[in-house]
Amino acid sequence: MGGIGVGSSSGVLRTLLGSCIGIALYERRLKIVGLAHVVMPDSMGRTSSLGKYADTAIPETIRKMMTIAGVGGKRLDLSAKIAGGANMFAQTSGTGTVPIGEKNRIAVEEVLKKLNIPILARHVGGTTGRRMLIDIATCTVQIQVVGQSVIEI
Amino acid sequence: MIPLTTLQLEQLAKLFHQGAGEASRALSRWLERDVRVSVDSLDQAAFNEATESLGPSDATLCACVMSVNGRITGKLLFCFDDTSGLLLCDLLLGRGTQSTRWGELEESAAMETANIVGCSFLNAVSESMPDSETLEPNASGGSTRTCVPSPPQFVRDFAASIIEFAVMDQAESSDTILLARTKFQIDDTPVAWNLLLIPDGLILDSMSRVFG
Repeated sequence: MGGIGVGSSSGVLRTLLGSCIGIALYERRLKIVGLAHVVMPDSMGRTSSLGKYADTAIPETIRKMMTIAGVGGKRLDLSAKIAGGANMFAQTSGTGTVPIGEKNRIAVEEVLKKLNIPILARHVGGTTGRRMLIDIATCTVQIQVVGQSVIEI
Repeated sequence: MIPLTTLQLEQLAKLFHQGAGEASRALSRWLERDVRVSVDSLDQAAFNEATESLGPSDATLCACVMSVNGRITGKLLFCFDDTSGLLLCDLLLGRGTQSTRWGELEESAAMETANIVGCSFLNAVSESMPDSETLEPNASGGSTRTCVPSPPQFVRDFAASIIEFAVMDQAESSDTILLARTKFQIDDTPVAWNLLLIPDGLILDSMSRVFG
């Protein structure tokens, strides 16, 4: 939770999600991939645990991707796919407030929009957890839900 | 949220031992077997390590989840893998053979058990807690004298996904997560059930002040 992983050329990055949002960022041409696991929508100015918050995790993931890409200050041509944001315990969470998973999704989409990073696929909401994987070589993103077949988004 | 000191954790563990004792008695009556519930550990884990608290992150886990209001606020989870959970159902339903799948009846039996274990545990913890005048109530409208769990909700999902959601209330205010884990024995044989209490950040701050 709240972690950031990056990789290049080959391998798989993966994470498990409930109400958190997984953000797969990738530069297909260079085969540079980042995967962030956002727990909360807003850092409120905090400077630690950058991977935990939507507004800090995405820039930090990009910074790490640029470091391994070795492109200096040159902008990467990034795309994003997102998953997660479930409201798993809807019956026990009460009503009247926006579920944390939905808040996370909205925050992530706003940050990506500000950074002009297109979201090419989403697998969000619902009431179940998800396993999210991104293959670095192909930049394909797979989602698995307990009891269901793996799907590609 | 300021992490609790070792002394504060010890005081909190004493409360949870009281809860485990009462849960043992309630569950023994319910299952008509000798059941022992004991506090296995009371840990403050780094937030990013909490997902491993119930075993491998990507293992499929079942949980009966309750929100808790009153003197303690947070989440209470009665967790088990498929085999151990269905064993519980078979005991309750008097079946001689091991069930292999979850149906409405099995889920209902698990939730009823969670309700009994959870209520007895929380009642004992609540009664053993320091005077409520010094323990500030939560803002969710619950009584300050008791702990009231919501009706349980059954989920079957990745262990990490369940834990992630359950610790979310603490995650808002802290990078450290407090987890109270219990272990169960039936007729001296360990069973892989786990009662997990995750107090929220607000009540932890109150506890910190009460326990000095």
